Amino acid sequence: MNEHPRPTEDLGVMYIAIGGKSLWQLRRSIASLRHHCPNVPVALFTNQPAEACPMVEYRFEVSATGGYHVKPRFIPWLPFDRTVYLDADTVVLSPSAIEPAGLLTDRFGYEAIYVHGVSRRCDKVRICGVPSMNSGVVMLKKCRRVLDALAHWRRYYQGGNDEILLTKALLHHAVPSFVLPAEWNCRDRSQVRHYSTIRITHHRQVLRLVQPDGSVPDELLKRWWETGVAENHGDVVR
Amino acid sequence: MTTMIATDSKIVERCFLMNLDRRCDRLRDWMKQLPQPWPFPQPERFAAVDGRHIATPPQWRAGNGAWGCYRSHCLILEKCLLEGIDSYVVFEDDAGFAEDFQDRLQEYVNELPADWGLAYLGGQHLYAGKHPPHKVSERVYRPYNVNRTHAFMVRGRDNMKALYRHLHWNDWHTKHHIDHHLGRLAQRRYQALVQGKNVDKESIAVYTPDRWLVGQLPTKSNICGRKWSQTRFFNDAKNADHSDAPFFAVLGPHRAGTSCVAMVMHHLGAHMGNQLGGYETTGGGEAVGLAQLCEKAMRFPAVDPTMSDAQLTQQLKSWIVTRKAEANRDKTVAGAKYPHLCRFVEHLHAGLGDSLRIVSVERDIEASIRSLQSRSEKHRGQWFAATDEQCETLQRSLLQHRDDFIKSHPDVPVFRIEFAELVTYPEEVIKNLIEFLGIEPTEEEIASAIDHVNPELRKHG
Repeated sequence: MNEHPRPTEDLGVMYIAIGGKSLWQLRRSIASLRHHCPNVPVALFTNQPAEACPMVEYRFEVSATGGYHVKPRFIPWLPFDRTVYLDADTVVLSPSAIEPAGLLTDRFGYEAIYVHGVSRRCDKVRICGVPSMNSGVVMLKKCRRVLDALAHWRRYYQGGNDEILLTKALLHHAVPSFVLPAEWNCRDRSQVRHYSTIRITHHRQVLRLVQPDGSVPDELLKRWWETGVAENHGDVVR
Repeated sequence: MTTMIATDSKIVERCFLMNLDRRCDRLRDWMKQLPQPWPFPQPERFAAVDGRHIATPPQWRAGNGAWGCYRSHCLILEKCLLEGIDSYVVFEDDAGFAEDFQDRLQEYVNELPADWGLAYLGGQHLYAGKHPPHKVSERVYRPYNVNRTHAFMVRGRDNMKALYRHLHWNDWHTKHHIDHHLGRLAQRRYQALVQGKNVDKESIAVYTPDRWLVGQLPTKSNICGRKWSQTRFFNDAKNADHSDAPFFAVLGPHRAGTSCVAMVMHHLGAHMGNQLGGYETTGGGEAVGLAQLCEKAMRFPAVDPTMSDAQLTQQLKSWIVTRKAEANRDKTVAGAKYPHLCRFVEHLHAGLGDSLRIVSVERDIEASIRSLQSRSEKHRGQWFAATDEQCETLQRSLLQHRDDFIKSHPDVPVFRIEFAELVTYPEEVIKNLIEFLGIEPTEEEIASAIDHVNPELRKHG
């Protein structure tokens, strides 16, 4: 198809929030991102009214047809040269959380980055025994190969889990990809050896620990990692 | 710097520029870029309220910057009411002007209806997909809801009082800025007019130009702190419903090959909907939202809609405008397929006007009838099964409505696809279809469209 819009921003973060139920998570996730990465523009795809959403630099209204509001559909719309996708229920815990996006440059040659995790879809991709990626945290460069892979995804996606087809599409189009360790998208405490290595959590309980300034106090995070208990007795992002 | 004032500067009595004391950089830049000759009275700088230095009331949840902006606009309005100023234009200091500003402004002002109270020069149409701005004349539209306050004109003592009351009413929504609140004012009047109700006596006639005359300069926002790289002009009223963008309706009775054609278009990159379903296992090419809408209006196997023409037209248009907006973002064209569209083609035309394009899929009607009867036989008891007589009546009705429309509207572009030809010579037909769609698919997309065509589909001739 025709060329997509030329990016006007070098790097940005993208969220999707369909339905009002995820907005409390989104607010905390964006607060944590702003705390650690204050200068990164955020794009939000949502069907919720502007006044209900946290302030973002780029807001895209999308209709509420369920099922198809998945990241590969929207990435080509973004004004970013490099996009970091974060699920609305993630919490950014370190300024270095999105730094691997630096690999998506000509200097290093990578065009996609995703996170290795405990895959629940080991045998679904059926290409060289590769497991399906987890797409809760994905970084993509807006380039020909990636756009072709996303167009491929769009042609064949028929609902359901988008990750398997996205993995296939990236492999089919030979997109040079870097795989990050589990601490970049920690979905289970047992996946990491020490809480201090976690860059992004994907755990609803940790969202409760996000303070009004977007930080997560070290002692609360440590307690959660050690015991699974996430209790916050102070104020939180509303 | 000296500003040349045009001879006729009576569009409004006064011209205000809202500017924070700490943003003299913006003041300097704004004055430098004023179009010459300047069509309004000499701009008067109005020292804007700096939200950083004051306390906001407890119910205000939209931030200090937004509070300062709200208070500044209120103060200007109050000043005009107190000093007997009957009309004014206000600019925020990030207002950037379009090319031919003066000429286009004059055309806009000349066509503004006599009742205008609030006339935007710049802004952003909200919810335009569902509620496109209503065309009043060539240059003037009635908006549903306008966001942003970087350039607008106000006129008339009663209008000013109504505006003042609205801005100080205690029915603000949480986190609303002044522009959201003003948007609600326009929205109420628009809704009343659309529904044929009496307009509220407190309402103000709000208008916008066909294309925005004033955008926002690439300066750092005082409210959200972001900086942009170019002057931003938001969606114009003229094209808020994407009337410039074509919409391709794939028309044919059931079992005529329309699913195959719709999926070919999908593979070529046309936007056929966000979630495609349908009977065919390889993909029916039917957008789920459109299918629901069509079935609600005319439950299979009915031959006439149960919804009023106006309602059906409005609902179809609303669905299509949203798809066009998405297609625009995808840099492609929008289309859709559902057999009922043959029956609704007049409604499509009423809603879309010149932007309607038809992809007419031709297959022997007897073969289509047999195929639908056979499908119904296989699925007795399902909602999409019908008796043999119902199948025949429905199929002939759909075909007749489509063909009658095409015959009576020679101006509507039509691309005819013989289904038999498509399955026999897919490369050739798809090449011609691409030309009709006006898109440039990649080799990979063309290959996948050709692969989709399955000659085994021609069981019934």
